[in-house]
Amino acid sequence: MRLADADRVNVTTFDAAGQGTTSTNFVVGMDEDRIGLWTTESGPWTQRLSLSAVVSLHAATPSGKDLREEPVLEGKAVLVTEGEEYEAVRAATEAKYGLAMKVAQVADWAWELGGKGTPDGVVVISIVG
Amino acid sequence: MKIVKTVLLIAAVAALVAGGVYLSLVFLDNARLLAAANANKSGNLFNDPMHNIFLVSGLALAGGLLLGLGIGLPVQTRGAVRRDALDEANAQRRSAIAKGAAQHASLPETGAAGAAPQQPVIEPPAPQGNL
Repeated sequence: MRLADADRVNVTTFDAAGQGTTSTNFVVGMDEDRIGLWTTESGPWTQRLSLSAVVSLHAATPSGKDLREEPVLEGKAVLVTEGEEYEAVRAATEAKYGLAMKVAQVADWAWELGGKGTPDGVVVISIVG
Repeated sequence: MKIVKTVLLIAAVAALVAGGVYLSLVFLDNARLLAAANANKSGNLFNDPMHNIFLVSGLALAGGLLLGLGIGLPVQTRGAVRRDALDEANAQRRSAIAKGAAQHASLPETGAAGAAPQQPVIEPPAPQGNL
């Protein structure tokens, strides 16, 4: 199974000590070796990717459980908050997830009412192996 | 191991056949012995011991079978072994990626002359008003 065809993907970012932080994300395909992850909160990703752009990727179920049969892949991630790629990934996410994305947007809107949120964004990941 | 397994299976079948033959002989001898023991007696003084002999034989057979199964069955099922192997492979891969990420994170920002910096290029988040 291609990573872009998975329900979700578990993305682990690492700090300088190799300590990982994992999150479960929507995933859409961009081209052969790139995937896009739409996120309601770009702030945490800015922090996570400032430590290292190298991430590990593992296909997951909608509940975030790793799919054992699928391999763990390595990727290089870049956060994008505007532009063509941002729009493309956002549109692809809306097409793939529909209602689930709307629910996430509503939850994010409610969160941002408290002034705690950050703008949404897209993490573009080039799969390197 | 395959040869040992075959030898053990042949020995087990031979033991079962021998046990059956000897049990049959005991059964036949027992009838004569019992008849002789009870001859010229008023009533049967000696009860037929074959019931107990069959019971002991059956228990020994069942015990041997269960013991063999207990020794021979693997600790984990094939599926569990496969799941463990996949989990281990994935954990090793994740660990290797983490090591690589840590090495990249510790690299200085200015590498060789003309080389691009190793730190990730991250675009700043768009301001709230643009949404």
